[in-house]
Amino acid sequence: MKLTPKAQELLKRYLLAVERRLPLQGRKDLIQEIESDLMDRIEDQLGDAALQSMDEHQLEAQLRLIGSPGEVANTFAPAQPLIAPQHDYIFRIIVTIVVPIVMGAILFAGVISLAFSGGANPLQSILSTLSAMWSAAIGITGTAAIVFMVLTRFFPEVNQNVDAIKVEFETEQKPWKISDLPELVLADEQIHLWEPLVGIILGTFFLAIVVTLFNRYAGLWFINEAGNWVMLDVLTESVKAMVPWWALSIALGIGHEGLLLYQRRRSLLSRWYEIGTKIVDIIILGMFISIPQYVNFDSAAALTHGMNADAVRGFETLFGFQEYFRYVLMFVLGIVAITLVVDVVKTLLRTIKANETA
Amino acid sequence: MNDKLDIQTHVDKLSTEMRRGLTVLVVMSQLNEPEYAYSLLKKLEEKGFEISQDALYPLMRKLDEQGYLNSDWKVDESRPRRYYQLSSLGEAVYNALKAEWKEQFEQVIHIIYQENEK
Repeated sequence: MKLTPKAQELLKRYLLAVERRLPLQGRKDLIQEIESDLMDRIEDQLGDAALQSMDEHQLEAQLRLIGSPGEVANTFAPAQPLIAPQHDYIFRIIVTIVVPIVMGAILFAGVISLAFSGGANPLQSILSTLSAMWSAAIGITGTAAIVFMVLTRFFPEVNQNVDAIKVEFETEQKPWKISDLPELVLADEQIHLWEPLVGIILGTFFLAIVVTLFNRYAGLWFINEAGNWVMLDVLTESVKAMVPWWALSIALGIGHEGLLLYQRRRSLLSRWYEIGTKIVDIIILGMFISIPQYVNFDSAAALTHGMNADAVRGFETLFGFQEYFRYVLMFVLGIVAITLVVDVVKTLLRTIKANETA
Repeated sequence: MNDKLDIQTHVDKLSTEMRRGLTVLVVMSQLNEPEYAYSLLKKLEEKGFEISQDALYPLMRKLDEQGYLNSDWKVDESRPRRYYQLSSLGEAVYNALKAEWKEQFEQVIHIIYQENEK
């Protein structure tokens, strides 16, 4: 059976929807088996017509005969609820009838107790009654849930034949729509959940440091001859003035990670956003390169603060090379600019392709 | 009419339960040769043993997990298919189960028909 490209895409989206409903263990193997089985079933339904090419509308009609992704997933790997359907009825009685009765009794007892106490400490009485009601509700519901979970897991035969109260487990038998099927995610669009999470956490950490600590603690730290830590303020005001721009760059980066987390993929939007942040980064880097002097090392002040004379000479030599640091930054700027051009071209091509497909 | 309907409902329910116990035996009986899930379903249908996919597929996976079946992917056909076949353990269990069922069947026949007809 041949499928047109759009039918192939529909099949992949349908299978992705099925896959997401399968247990993690053995999922890849199972989805392959399901794909093979679906094709067998469709060929069987079509008979000789299966030899012809099938478009997305014909495939959709066949898939509708087979059922929703949830039903197909449930056929191969039946959902295993924590509480088996045969216990559901009793569990519902406990939650909807027993719990309210017990809570009502506690409330009644609380009111009586308050009345007989002559109104002493009314707030405390009300709070303790509410606390007791909450504990009772959680305690009863939780205990019942644990008991039925244990029965489901270790004693599956209990209540097995009580057909009168058996409630069928939800298998998504409602009509399904193509628009509900997940979009296909290409290999270069895939991201792992931890990637944006790590980005957001680290970004927030650095943002906090830059905003709160940089201007106060950035400098030349050394142990003076008396054995104490001393900070020499060597950064020029121009460098310190860059802090809000660095903060902006980091914040834009966090925003990018947030977008990835929200979309769970690299989309066209996230790629254009990334290009935007790179442009901002290039501008900020350009501003930093244009700073005439990064470090202003005052040898006399260093000696006054107790820095060893040899160390002072060493730092004088080291900071004398700060012009070379500018060249390193210019090299970095060049690399970032090249990657930006590549990104822009690639993203433009993707955008054109996406528009053509649409 | 209502009584008849009621009786039929009861019979259907009990018959389903009776068949449920036999399904494992029937499925195992067809897996001396390698079969993929859909082919086994069709084979059983052709032989008049009605079983739904919802019942057959999880059962095959369960038997596979329990070591009664071996499963292998075959890629030399029009599409890759996973074939199931009785393992040596499955074969031994099946033979024992078959003998057990025959014995039970004879006992049941004896109890239901021969004793009642006396």
